[in-house]
Amino acid sequence: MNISKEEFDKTASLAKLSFAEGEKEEFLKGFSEIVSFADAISEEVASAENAPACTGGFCDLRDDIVIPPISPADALKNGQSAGSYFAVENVIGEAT
Amino acid sequence: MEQSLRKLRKTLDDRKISSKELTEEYLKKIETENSRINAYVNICSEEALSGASSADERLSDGETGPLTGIPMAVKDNICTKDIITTCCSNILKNYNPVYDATAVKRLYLAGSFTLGKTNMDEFAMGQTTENSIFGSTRNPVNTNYCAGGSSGGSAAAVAAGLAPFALGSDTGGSVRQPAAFCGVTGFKPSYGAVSRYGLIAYASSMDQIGVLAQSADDCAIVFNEMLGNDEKDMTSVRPGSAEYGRLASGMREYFSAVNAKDAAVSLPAGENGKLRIGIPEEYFDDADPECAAAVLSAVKEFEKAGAVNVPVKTDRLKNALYAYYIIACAEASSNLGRYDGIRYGRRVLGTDIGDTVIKTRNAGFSGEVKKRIMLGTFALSHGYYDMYYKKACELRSRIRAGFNELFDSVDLIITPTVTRTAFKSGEAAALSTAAYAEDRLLVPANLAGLPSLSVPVGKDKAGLPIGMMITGKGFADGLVLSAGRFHQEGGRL
Repeated sequence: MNISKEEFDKTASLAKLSFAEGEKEEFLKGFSEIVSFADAISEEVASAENAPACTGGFCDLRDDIVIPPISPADALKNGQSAGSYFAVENVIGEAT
Repeated sequence: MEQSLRKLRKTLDDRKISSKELTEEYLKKIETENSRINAYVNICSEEALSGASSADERLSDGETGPLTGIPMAVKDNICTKDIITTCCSNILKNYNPVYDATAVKRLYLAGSFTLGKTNMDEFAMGQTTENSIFGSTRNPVNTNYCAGGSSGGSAAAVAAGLAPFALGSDTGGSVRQPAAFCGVTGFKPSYGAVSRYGLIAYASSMDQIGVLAQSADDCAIVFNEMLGNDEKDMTSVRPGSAEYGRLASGMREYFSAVNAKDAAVSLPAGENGKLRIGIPEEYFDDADPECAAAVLSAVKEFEKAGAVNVPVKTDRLKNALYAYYIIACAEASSNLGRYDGIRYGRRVLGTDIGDTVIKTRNAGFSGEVKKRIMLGTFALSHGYYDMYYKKACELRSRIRAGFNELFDSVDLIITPTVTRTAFKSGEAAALSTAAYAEDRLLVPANLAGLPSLSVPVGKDKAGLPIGMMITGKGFADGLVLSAGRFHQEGGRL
């Protein structure tokens, strides 16, 4: 399946990725290849019976009791922090 | 230094060597050898020596666990508290976990400790360990060839004698394939047998922590310490369930056989008495003739010992590869959505918060990771969800049903691990998407959550190792490991 530039751009936007124009051409080619690879799924597979879980398995819920979360210090350890908050640059603009 | 875990246990218990001396030997060997193969990306000398000292104290007090004093290597997508864990990606370059993965914690309780973190394909997406920010891992058998992936660093570390055993992860063959390429044993447990808590997610319905070691017995010893329910992983096997019963009884039988004194290693029994093995023709189509011949020759030993060869067909496995890539990439696109530079990982400033997230992800992910995120996002998007993701899930149901039927008539399936031996360095990258096809024998076990073991079964004309894969039904991990042990030690006391 050949992917159009519009479809590519839309997918990139959903994936929160972007590509420079020069990079896009090459990536589009590789992306079309991988989608063509996925196209090989047999056309005989008719309507789907969803089975995303592989074992039909457990997915037990734990008991509904409060478990202490990780400490604020641990939560902030790997991010940029300001006091007890994650710090994000103060920029003003439309959300994308 | 390539000793079995049992021999190491005896050596330590007899105080012929201390854990500190053993660890220093490994660290010394890593220092001289690692530059040749690049198996480790982070060598944890201080932590390892501290672990060894604690182990020596326990040994002096007479407290011996199965792994007390024996160090391990850990793949760099498994969280180790206070040891940088990066998934070999720029986006997690200085990530310092605040917790240990449950599997790691359990091995620490059993007396082991971390020697270092091993190289991998970024976010476990790859087959060669050439897609890493730390450079490629080379095959210790011949450094012109890759070590396989994505757990190539772990496989190479064990193969080169730089660790007695290593943890890897297997989502689409990433423990078994590098084990086959490097000539070591690699075990992927049943999905749910080992907690995924602390395994940085790629495709959550297939990810599983596995073991790379010198033998099936070594894999069994390590696996036995990790397995079991974990309340932090709701997909882990539930105590009291039939699956848990099967897993536990299988491992009990495994260790009863091992511990039986003066008994030669014999062929394990199947569910109904004689072991029934299936050799599906489809797995041998397109296999390199040397790989096929080596596996079929090994199968004859099983038959000589009394195993019954049952003809089987696996045509339901057709298209498993495509189902795997669609499901894995769809799950990856969701799992990797968390990497936005806000709470952890690298951050690249943009003009606003949205731009910051995009710039961060662009700078942080490699081309292969971006490609797979794009495929997954596409497969889940409106207009394509039914065509790709839904179909892939339907295929997955059929594959699982196909295996359930198959395992009514056989106890184990024996096949080549991969249709070929190791790629030359750079070969897979040149093949691009065509290289994905080499995963076709591996991914069915991941789609169906089955236990699967790769054992070395010879070498090709170029001297490259060949792997044989033994796969069992869900939670028959004990039987799979027993069969692997029989192949490696059969007939010996």
